[in-house]
Amino acid sequence: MFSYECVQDGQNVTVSFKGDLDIEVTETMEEIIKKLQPFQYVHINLGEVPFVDSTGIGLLIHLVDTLKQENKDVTISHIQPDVEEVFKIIQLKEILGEEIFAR
Amino acid sequence: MGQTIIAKGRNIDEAINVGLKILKSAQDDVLIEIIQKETKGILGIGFKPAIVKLTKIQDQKERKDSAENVEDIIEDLLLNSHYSSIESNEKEESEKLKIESNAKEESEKLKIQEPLSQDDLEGKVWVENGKIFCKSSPLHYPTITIGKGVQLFKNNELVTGTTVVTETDQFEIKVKEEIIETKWNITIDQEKLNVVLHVEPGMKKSFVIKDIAPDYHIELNAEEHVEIRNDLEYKQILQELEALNVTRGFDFVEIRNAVNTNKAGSFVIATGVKPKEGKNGWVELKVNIDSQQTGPKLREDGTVDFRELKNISTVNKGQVMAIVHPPVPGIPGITVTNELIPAQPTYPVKVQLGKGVTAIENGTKIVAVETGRPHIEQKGMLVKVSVIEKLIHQGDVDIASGNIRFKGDVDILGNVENGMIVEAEGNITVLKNVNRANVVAKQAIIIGQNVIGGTISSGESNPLVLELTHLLSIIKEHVERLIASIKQLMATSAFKMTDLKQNGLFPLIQLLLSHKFRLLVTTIKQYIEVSKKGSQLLDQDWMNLSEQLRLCFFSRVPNEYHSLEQLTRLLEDIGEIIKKNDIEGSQNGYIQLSYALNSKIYCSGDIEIIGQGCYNCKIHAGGSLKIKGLVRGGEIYARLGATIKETGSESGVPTRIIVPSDQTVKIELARAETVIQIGKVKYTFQKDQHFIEAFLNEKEQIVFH
Repeated sequence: MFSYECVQDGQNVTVSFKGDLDIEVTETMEEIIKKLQPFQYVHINLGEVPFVDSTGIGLLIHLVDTLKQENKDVTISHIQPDVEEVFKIIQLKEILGEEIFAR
Repeated sequence: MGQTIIAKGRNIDEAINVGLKILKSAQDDVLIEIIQKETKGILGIGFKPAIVKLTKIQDQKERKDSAENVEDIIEDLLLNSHYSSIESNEKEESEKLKIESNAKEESEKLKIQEPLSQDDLEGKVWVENGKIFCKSSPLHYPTITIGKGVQLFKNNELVTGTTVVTETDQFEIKVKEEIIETKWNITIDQEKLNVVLHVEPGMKKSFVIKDIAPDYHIELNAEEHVEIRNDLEYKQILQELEALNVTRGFDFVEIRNAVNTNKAGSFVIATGVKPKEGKNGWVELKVNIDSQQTGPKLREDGTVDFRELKNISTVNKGQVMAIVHPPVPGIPGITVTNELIPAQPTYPVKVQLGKGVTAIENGTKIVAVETGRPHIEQKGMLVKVSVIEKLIHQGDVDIASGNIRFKGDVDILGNVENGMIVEAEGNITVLKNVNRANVVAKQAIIIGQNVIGGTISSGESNPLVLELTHLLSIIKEHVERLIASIKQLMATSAFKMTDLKQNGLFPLIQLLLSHKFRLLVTTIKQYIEVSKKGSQLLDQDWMNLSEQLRLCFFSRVPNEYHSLEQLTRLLEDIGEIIKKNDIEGSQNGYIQLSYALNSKIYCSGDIEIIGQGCYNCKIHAGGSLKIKGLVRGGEIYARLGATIKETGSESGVPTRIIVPSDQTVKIELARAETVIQIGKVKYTFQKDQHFIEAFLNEKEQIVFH
């Protein structure tokens, strides 16, 4: 089951995804986007996402695009190596922008 | 009772004789009891003598009665032995049975019957008529082991394995009976043309208890009897056929055969009628057009006879060029469920009348109204017919004559001089030289002598088709890579295909197109635009493909194209259309010349250089290239392979021969520094080499043959 956790610190918020980022997350994602509205700096932690599917990646792109449109700073971190492999094939870095992927 | 003695001998006869001698009696006067039969040993080891007990009889009368009935006694004995277990009274008698013999014969008989003697049955069990009999002895009880297919109840209890048999036990033997029912089903093939009945007859397997000879231990086995039973009934089949809506085409003989069969098998019990395909309309040619691209004749000495130009097939005014045949419609078939199977529709040929022809008799005959070369072009169901006029230009083309532009064929009997242009929609034949001039024909170009500093271009290529083919080859490459990427992702452990069921590959394709395959998106857009613009001029194939590409890559919702199979099929379609047009493009052009220097030669079809060869030329052949002389310097591309006598030069002017990756280069003598390029792989000859044939192997390396 997918769940998420928001830890806020002033203008900063860290949202940690837990579980598979897949088609099941579609509705939850809208909820997350709303939750993140008040913050300027959004850190997405994928440390506990072991699997993704194409819809899930699409949702992530949608999330980042929405936040970016509102001129927020977004970073994605703690990607698991296997998931990173998937991102690489899809060239997600090029889609979202190199700067989003925190080292 | 009188005197009794025990006698031994090597066999029973001898033992009896010994005893008789001792008793000084005749055989008639004694009772003989056999105690032990002799056992023959090997080399004396294991040998046991025969032992008999002889008792002298006093009462003659009694003896005689018995003696007369020896055979009866033996018969009694047989009966007794069998029923002795029931009749214990007789048992004692038979146990004490003594046989009187007065003749040797009798004793022989005795020996034959011996195995059944009561003594031998002791402790044994046997089976007769499916029943168990036994005769126990105080020290040995016979045993029975239950074999396959048999159930034995001893005193109403099921016996497993081995059991001891006593005379008081009640036995009941039950044998298994197995019935396998007849299996059958009826299938109808996809076209509903054949109804097949599959029958596997059932069988009854029963077991019968065999008689078993008396022994201390017997194994109760049953013999398997298999009886084939085909329970299938005619009525059942008819019912099933009715349920399946099969209403016609029955083969009642086969149904009978199926009902009666003893073997598993399939029977075609009803058949439909296949549609008989018709024939599309066609055009029957009444003129010879195949000489169009045949060049001048070579004499045996290698020179060319231009007076023997063969492309002089002409039609005169009023001559029938072709007869148009209407299509023959097919005859529809009928299924076993009484539905019509339509035959493939047939179409008439579309005749496009070009210049110099007309159609008469409702368009069934095409007649020339001009004199000239017949030109008939067929593409699918479209046939273009025209008569190409011929212009014969006496002498040179120069400032005096002016440039020549003509709708038909042009024959120039002299030279084409400096800076002049000759253009024709048909063939161009120049008997002499082309000097720094342009010669452009939509069909073949034949130049009798040399081309020096000229530009020669032959063949008509539809620029639209060229462009689309080019775009398609890019699309093909990208789709290949796209499929590879999808496969790669599927193999990645962290990638889930959770959404595949719901949306197919749609979300994944979207993702991949969003960055990685951006170029594919733009190329497909271009393709769709170009094909839309040219939709009037293009084959339906191009348009179909355009729609397929749109559905697959630009659809906003998932559809049936979003699967790996469909993508692969799409890729195949793209490949096919590219291939097809590659071949078509090379049909029109043809160039033949003797010698070329510093010239540009372009041809959508084959090029033949039949004289000395070419020096410093740029040659592009859409078909194959044959050079009977030298290639010194320049660049040569041959899309369907090159065959050259000699390449390269001693002076080291760069000479390049290029063919696509699936073609070969044949050179009789390749001088050092000659460069050949097959696909993207280059090879430079370091020294002169004879008779090479170069092509690419699977590892994309140039190999020589």
